[in-house]
Amino acid sequence: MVPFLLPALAVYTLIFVYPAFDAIRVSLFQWNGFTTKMTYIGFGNYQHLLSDPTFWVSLRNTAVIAIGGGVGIFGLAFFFSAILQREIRGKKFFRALMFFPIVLPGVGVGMIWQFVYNRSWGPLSALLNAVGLESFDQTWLGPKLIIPSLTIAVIWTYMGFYLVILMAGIDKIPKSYFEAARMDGASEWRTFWLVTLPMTWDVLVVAMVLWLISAMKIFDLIVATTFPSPPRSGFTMTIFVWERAVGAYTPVFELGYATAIGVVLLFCVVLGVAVLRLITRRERIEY
Amino acid sequence: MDTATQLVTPAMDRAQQLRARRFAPRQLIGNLPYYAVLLGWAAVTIFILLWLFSGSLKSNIEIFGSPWAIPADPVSAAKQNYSAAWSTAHMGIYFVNSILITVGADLITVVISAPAAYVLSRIPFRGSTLINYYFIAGMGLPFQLILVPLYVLLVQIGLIDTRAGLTLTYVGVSIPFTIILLTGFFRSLPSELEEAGAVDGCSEFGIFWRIMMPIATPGLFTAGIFNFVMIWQEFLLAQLLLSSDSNKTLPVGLMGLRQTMQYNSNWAAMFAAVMIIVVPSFIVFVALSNRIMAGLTLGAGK
Repeated sequence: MVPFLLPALAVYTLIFVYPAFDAIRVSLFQWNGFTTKMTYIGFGNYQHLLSDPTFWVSLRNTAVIAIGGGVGIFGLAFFFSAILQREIRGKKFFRALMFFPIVLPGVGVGMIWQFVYNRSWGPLSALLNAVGLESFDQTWLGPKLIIPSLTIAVIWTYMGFYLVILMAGIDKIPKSYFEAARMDGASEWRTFWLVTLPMTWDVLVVAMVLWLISAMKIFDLIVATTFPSPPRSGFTMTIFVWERAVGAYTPVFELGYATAIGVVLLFCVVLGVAVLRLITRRERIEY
Repeated sequence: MDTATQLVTPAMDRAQQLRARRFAPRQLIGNLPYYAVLLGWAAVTIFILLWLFSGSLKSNIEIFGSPWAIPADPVSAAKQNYSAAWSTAHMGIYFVNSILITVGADLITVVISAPAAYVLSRIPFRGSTLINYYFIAGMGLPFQLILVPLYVLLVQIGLIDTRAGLTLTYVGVSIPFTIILLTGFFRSLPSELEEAGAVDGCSEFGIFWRIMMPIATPGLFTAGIFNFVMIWQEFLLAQLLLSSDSNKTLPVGLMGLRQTMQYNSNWAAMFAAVMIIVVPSFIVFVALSNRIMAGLTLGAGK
């Protein structure tokens, strides 16, 4: 048994778990990485974090992308799954096409959206101008609109992934349930609330947990869209860690501080998942 | 809503099905709004991809012109853009690195995760659940958390800025997902298999290697595809751990190119470079999309 488990346990522990624990230690120090001299400052980094306005902006933006993107993704995924349950030609084609963006490299997707949102030669602005809606044309990636613009790109990228998961859940519902609902004259809307949603609840909860975790980790897409980094008003937690560590144009190398933000990010992930599970458990429909 | 266009169920008998087919034109009209929505979403995706492709066949002047225009001289523009990206911008070198690192890390991950997942899913022992949770916990760990400690670790073991170091790192961070996916897969196999092996006097390793592995091939293959897709596109850790140009992977190279393009504004070559990174994912997806989607429900839908 041990030889079966050991290689995977060893590599995973060395590369992933040990650094994660070490991060807690590093986060208690002030360190620029150039010397071995690390100054212990206790919870200094965390105290600094609470008074850093960029932290609160990052936290808010991360929450907006996770919640706003989540509502968009799951709303659309249920909508499209309902459509794809019908007798539609090319079902598989549509499903595959919607799923496709998740397979694309995040930096490539970000680059594509940065082209799309380009105000001087991008297709979005060109389209608005072509149909006479110049007044709606905006600096899409400017400080004001960057988070909504990114959320749209995120929804486009991730929607199909969750659509496929939900559709698999819906496929497991015995067809007689839908038949019965139809016999009783339930509208599609009622059928959704009374059959589809409760019967797919477990799958939906798993999917939402997955989404929450990956939403908080989104990085490539944002970096590539807004290279080298978004304006401060468009920071997310992941960008904030990167920028404080090594990512800025003129890196600041606040390694202890960056790691403390990483620890807080992990805390947010754990807290978010716990809260989500709590909410979804309470609303669980027993029958 | 018209009930004739409602959900069609397998409970319908043959006659009903035939009747439904005869009403096909009516059904088509009833479904028209749905087709419109589906085609609308599809159109956005297809347009974005086609526009990306056409951009790589345009000169810079054309790109700054109308985004709707058809490339004027696609062949010579393509030659110029793709050679600028492939050779001048070193995307060729990055491409080879990406292939080596992705394939290497993927193989190692699957090879060491398969036996672990097998034991965790098929052989009950004390602490099995605990170890399972230990692996699952990795799914929640953000890479941002480990940036600094991981960098220090790789410096200490002398693997910083090497392709081997990045490969090892990818193995480490890919294990949690691979194990979750494979345990789900192994659990779905019938339990008579090991019993038959045990009766025939197979050793534990023999059962795993001669009986389980052959039937687990589809699961291993799915895990392999998933890891390929994830590792191929990984940017953050690659950017952190690699600094020599000759070691960089495609995502890192692409972002570097993005940086230089700020100064020389060769956007057309950027389009070509994005194509170079997107096309392999596209091919993998077109060839294996059904398996990828099936694997997804295996790992997450349980």
